Amino acid sequence: MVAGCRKNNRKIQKLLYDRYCDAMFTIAYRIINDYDNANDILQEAFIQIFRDIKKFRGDSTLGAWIKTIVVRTAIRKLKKENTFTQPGFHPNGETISWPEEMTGDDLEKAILSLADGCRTIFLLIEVEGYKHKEVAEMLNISVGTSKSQLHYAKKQLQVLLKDFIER
Amino acid sequence: MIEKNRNILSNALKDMPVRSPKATNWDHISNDLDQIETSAFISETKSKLPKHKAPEDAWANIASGLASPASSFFNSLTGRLITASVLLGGIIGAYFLFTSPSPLHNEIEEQIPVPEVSVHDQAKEVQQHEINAKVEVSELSQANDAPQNEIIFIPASNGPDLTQNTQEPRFNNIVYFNDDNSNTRIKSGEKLNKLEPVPPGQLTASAKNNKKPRYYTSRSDKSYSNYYMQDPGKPKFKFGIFYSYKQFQDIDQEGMDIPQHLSSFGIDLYYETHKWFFKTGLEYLSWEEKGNYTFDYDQNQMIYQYNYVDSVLVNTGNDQITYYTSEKQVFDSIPLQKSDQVIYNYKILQIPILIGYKLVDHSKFNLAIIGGIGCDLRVSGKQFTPVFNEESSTITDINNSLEYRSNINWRLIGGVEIDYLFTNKWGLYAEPTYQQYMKPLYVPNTSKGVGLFSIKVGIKYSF
Repeated sequence: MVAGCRKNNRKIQKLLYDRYCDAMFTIAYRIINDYDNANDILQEAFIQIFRDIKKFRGDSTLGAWIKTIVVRTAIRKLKKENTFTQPGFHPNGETISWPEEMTGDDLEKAILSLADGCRTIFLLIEVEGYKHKEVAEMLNISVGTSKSQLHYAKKQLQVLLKDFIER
Repeated sequence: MIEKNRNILSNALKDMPVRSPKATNWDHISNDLDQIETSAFISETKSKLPKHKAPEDAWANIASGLASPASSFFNSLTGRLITASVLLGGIIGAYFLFTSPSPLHNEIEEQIPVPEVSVHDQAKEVQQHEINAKVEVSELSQANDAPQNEIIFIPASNGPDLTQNTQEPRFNNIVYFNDDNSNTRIKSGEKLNKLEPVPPGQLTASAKNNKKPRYYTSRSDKSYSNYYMQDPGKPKFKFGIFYSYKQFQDIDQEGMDIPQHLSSFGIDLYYETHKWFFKTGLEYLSWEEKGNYTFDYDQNQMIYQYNYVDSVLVNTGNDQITYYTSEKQVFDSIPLQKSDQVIYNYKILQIPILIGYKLVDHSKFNLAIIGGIGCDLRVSGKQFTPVFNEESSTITDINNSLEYRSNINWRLIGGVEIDYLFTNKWGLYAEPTYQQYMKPLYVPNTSKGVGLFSIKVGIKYSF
């Protein structure tokens, strides 16, 4: 498939797109929290993917490579459209307890209600599986900030989920 | 941080919905990829296109179309200042050149030392030496009444015949001058030497009493008119201060409000010799011109707003549906146009170079025709600065095709000058002229230069 994309075979490129578009769109949507912008990110990212696929050396899986491009494109867009700042937060060792009755929809709704900064960090670490070091490099923040923001996001989610479930 | 029942979070994360993009996304991506490929193809093809060498005479044609160095020199502020300085220096130099004494002055002054004696003493000495003077006694008595330390010029034909004398008269202020081109009879003082012929208007004698000899020029005192040498035609310098009114012809420019007439002040400098005179000066003009220009700009404006349904809450108990909405505004870039006014603030120095000829040359009234050229130097031409304070806007185009005054221009000048002298030094003058600009007043403009009528009124001083 990679070889076909490198030869600009449009059918192979379409196959690649179809395979990854939903997953990548979901990532973009959760980061940017806007349907139209997520579409723009997807288009921009896939154009870059097909243009740069000659540089893909196979160090990681094709899906991980594509996801990195989508995430970076989404972060760039987020920074461009918003003041991408993280509120100061210092974990104080509190215990977080997730409500047993929460569903995936509740969780996504709560995630999308988070502030841009901590939402992105939560998504990248907890959903997409990136390490704090990788997130810090992508967002140009310190590892400590990434950790504190993740904790802050979880605290916020706990409150938000409680509200959603009580409704 | 302690996280209880993390497996609940993990399960919920896995259960989060997966979303799909727009169905048309691929079309956009495909189109963009096509464009990228086309651009790459064009770029590759462009590099394969044959290359041609420029004609060897291309630069020569370009260089001939560029402004000449001299033009750019006169257009620069430095060039204008140097030009003005050279003109002013020329005027001052001409003044010193024509007013400095001849080298013969010092030579003669050294040859004729004159003792300081009173007029009465001089008269007595005339009698003591029994000079065979041809001067009438009455005329000598008039000479005795002459002011002290004043040189008196007496025609040699009326003075003593000194060609055969061994003793010389001892006058300190009587000089016999030659009126028949014989330089043997021009004698004065106790050490008279033979003098070389001197041209009219040249100094002929000097007293050593720290008072410079002068020509007799008084019009009111006629008592010594026969004995004083009249001014034989010394060059005169004149200085005038004037007010000028100019009426332009055919100066209209499309879209601009240009004053049809201007007033100004200036100075004139004259160098006169007999009926001819040379004239220059400096005139300062300042005025404003107004015009309109338009510019296009894009402004980000709200075009409509709608209520976005954030969430829906269904109460199964009473079948009530609650919509949570937020107001969304949609903005777009709207092309707009705006007009504004241009203000040009011009400051111009005018330097005329004129030659005049006196048709009528009376003691009180002169009439002369004048002609020459004049140079206009634009020393300032401040233009508008667009001030654009609209928020969320970007200027896309400025339609400013208005013309502005050229940096330098030349005029042909023709007219008359009328003088009325109320003393021998002071007078009034008027100068009506017609002036034709040799180049268009405004650039870029291919039309011919405009004409103007000008009338100057001023006061003039001779020195």
